[in-house]
Amino acid sequence: MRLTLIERLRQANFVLIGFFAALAILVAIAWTSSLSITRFEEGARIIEHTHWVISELEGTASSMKDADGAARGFYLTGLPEYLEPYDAALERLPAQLGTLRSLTNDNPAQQKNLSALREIIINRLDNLKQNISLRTQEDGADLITARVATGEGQKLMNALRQQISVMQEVEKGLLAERAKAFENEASDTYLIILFGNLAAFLMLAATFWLLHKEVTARRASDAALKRANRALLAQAGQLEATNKELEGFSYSISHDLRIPLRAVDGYAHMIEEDYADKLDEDGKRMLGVIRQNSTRMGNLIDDLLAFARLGRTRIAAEAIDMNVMVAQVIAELGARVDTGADANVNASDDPSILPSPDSSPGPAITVAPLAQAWGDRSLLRQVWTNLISNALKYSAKASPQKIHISGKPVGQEVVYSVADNGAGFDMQYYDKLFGVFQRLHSADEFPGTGVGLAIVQRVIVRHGGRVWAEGEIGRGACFHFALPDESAGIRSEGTPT
Amino acid sequence: MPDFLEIDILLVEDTATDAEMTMRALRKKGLGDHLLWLKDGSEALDFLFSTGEFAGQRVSRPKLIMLDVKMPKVDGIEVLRRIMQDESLRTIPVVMLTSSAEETDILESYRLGANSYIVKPVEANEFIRVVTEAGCYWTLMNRTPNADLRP
Repeated sequence: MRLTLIERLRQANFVLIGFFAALAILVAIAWTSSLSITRFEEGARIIEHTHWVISELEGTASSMKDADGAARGFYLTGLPEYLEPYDAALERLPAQLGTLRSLTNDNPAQQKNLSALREIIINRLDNLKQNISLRTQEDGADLITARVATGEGQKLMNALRQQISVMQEVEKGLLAERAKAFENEASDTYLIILFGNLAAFLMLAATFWLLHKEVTARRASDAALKRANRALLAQAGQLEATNKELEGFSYSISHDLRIPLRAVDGYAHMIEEDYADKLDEDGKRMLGVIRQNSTRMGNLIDDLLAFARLGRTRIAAEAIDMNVMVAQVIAELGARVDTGADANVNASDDPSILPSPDSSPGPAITVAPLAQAWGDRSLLRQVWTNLISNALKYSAKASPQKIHISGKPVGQEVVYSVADNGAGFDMQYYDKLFGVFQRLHSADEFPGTGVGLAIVQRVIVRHGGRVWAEGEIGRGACFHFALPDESAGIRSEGTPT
Repeated sequence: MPDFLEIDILLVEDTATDAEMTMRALRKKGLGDHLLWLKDGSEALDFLFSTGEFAGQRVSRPKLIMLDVKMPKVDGIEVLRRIMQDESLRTIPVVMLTSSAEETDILESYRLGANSYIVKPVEANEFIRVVTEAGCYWTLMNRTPNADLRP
């Protein structure tokens, strides 16, 4: 299947869009991932922070228990070494509270709770301090028993546990909340990465598929092109071979036709010589007809041979002064260049090759200054000979006989024309004009074989030019041939005077 | 056949009508007395080299050989080549008399050493003129090195 250009462009656009979309998705995924990792780190830090608060709270509770336990030991024994854990707890507690304060700095509710906790701790520590100082008195033990019995201390410790528990619950709640949010976010990130990658994969797959299709199509069309080229080359070779064969064929046909024809003419001639006295006038006339016709056929064969040979000769192009060539051809054909009305168009500065204007007999031809040509000298000479002899032949009965030759550059070509005021031709049969053995006049009216114009056309076409003509019955004909302007600057500037 | 064949003109021509017209034209100029017509190249080689039909036949040395180019079996070009390869035959004038105006035939004939290349005209008067002129020129006007009978 062949794609139109628009389809190809659309496909190329889609490939480009698909590729950049996949790239954008991958960049977004990378960005999301890095953002997610940052958040993950932050979340981990927050969770760690929460755990820290909880453990700090536990530490505080444990310090208070230590202080409480130590104080009780001291109440019972009165031994100062029992107070060692108490002193240590007292020393630890401010730092622990400070830590908690700074850890819950961002949470006003916990700050408030912390203040309440602090209140309870201070009260309890005051209580313990009073008890310890009471124990150092004489009757301290009893007083303490009485004070403990009031349950005041126990109440404070309960309140402390309660408060710590509340604060831990708050932190645990926060932890659960954060873990949940974190989990949600992680799952979002996971989904983004999953679907993003999937989309990018699909885009790339589609792009790949399109590219693959394009490459395959291109390979196929390349192969088709190569095949077509090969076929064309083979065809050209075949055509050349056929042409050669045809030319060889027409050549040998022409050659072999001459043998019997020579016999016909030769034996008719022998009869004329040997049996003249035995033939009456009518018999002699008939022999004459035989000989005339064999002569005519001989001319046909010669022209056919010339035409066949034309296809085989190589064109040796050179710059040609058409003025000189035309003057020579006119002289050869027994005509002369008219120096009357167009007297100053005398074509060449070399008078030796020109017929002297007024002394030569024969029809007069007017020649305008001719532009220089680029082509094969002998072939173009043949063209001029055929065209001018045609003009002379077909205008022979016109009075006065007029033939005009011109040639000037037109665009990229040089156009030469031969016009006459002779018999002309019917434009209706124009397509037969340049055909081989095609004639628009009978041989009785105007003798000829019908090969002259075919030769003209063949020569001009082989030069890369073209031929055409206009005509009207009884009013003359004008034949044109155009040669490509092969090298600029070789044109003749006209007639040197 | 007589013991000895005296031949002035050897005409090698496969077309009987061409041969008859040629011989008639030459005869009218008095050149037909010692003329031998052979119908193809192999007969010509037999005559020139005393083989086949002409084995043992004593023949004179022709003053002129008229050779057609296109002939069956052995063509004129081949006969010409064989003549020019033979030391004693190569001095006999050879005129190629043919219907072929093919450039390659002309070139090859001259390359091999033909003395003349004549395209037979179709028109009878022209044909007679050309044949008799060639015959007169090469047999009457032209001088060739004097060579005796071949052994």
